[in-house]
Amino acid sequence: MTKDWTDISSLQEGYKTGKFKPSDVTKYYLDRIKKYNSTLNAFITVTEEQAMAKARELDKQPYKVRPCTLYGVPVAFKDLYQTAGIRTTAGSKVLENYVGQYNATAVQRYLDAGAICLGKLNCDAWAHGSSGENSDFGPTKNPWNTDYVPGGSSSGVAVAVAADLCLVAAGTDTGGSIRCPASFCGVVGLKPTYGRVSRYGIIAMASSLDSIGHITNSVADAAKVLEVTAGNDPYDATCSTKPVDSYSNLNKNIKGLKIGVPKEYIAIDTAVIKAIDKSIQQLRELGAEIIEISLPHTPQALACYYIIMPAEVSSNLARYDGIRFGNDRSNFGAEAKRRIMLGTYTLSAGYYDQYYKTAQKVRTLVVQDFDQAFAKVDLIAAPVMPHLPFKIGEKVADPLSLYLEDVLTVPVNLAGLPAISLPCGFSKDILPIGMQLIGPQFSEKSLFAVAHLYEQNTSWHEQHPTL
Amino acid sequence: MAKLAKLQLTDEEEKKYSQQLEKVIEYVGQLQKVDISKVKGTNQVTGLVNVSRADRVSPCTPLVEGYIKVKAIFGND
Repeated sequence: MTKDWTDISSLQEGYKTGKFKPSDVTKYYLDRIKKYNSTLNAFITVTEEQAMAKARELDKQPYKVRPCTLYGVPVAFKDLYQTAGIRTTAGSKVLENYVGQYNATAVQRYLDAGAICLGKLNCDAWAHGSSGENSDFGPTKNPWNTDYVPGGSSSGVAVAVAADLCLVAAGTDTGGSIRCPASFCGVVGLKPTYGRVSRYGIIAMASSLDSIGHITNSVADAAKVLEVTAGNDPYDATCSTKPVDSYSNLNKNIKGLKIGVPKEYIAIDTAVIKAIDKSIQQLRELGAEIIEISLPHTPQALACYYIIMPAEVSSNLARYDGIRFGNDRSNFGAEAKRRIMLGTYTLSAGYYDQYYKTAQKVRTLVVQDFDQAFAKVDLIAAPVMPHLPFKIGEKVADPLSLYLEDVLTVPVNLAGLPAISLPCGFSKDILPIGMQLIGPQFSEKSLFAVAHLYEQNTSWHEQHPTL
Repeated sequence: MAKLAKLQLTDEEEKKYSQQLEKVIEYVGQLQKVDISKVKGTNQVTGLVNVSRADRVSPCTPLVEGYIKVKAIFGND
């Protein structure tokens, strides 16, 4: 079967005209997974039978009869999303054999909207990492060059979309875990406002930072999916009751829109600097007014994150005692052990004030930085990662050097803001580069509109890796 | 710390992690230099307070002689 769809709307157009059926499309993706997953290691579990059963059910209820937003869209979930009857490992040996009883709210919303689940995606164990190398099920490979990391922690999520193993993939972003792999793999990654999408049923990393988003091939798809996943959930008390905007209405004139470029958000690799400069120039040509701004607490934000996050990690992972479910604590990998100990340390009596409480106060300063910036500008544009993707194994021995890679993504999580990562160029070795647009809380609609306009005027998102 | 966190480490792990974590602790220690005398801490960023469900009366299954009739929990076999 030849693939003649590129996004959700062209896929559904094909369903409408009867060109192909959900079972044809599902088979297309399952075949590709069979062919390429052994190289890329994007999927931990493939749910072939369930996927085909759901596809055949949809075959009998054509789009015309059941026109729902994600009708017949093949999706896959980061292995942190609990799925009823399908094992959920969190990328860790601790939960190697854990099969959950119910679907996470987000999973249920995808399925209710007509999506077909193809399986569960690899990630750094417990979402700890920004390279995809920390999975107890082996590292995921970057489809643009399999010697390189795909970024993390939602490594399989970005790789599955970039390598065309599914159309939409669901991930989580605690400190950049959607934006980083999206930028390293050349796809669109959305981190919504904290509380926009329910966290219920998704294995928690750091509860005050975890944001539930997704990776797609286009901005229009990202907007469509958010219309499905966003919205209040009585099972998550931090989930907002704000009404969900019609995100997929992407028309917007950006003339006079003020876009801030923070002087502290500096990339290090020249290729990244050049690509970002060019993209900002393009935004200016599209009518935006570019203003230099300052987010003075950016360096401290990273240190603040590496106190608050491990503190919450150590609390959330305390429940894995090997008694109620899963294997015992000796099964934790190196990175989980480091973060548990770090968090235990910063929360322990005697160090609590010095570290945890100080970090909470610095978090206020980070939030204030953004508040002051958004008094002057509508959106912020910045690189996602300071470097290009690096080689697998290059930074394994020195965890701190890997932590420092998160400097441009974590402030957004500390302030609970929405951000979208867009493909904005390639290095000379053909490795993707990403730019992020950041907005005030609940400004997803205008983020999508600006991102869409940028996408319409560039062709980066149309380039795909050859496998 | 490992003991407090209920983790068992080998001697080799203990040596490796203590070196690595020392570097991280030193790095995050830079926060001591930030002036935080006038700021309050942030626990959460949603601005939500006292989240509770609406206190609404919802219909109950029909009463039978003053009792609520529910489905049988145990079968006959």
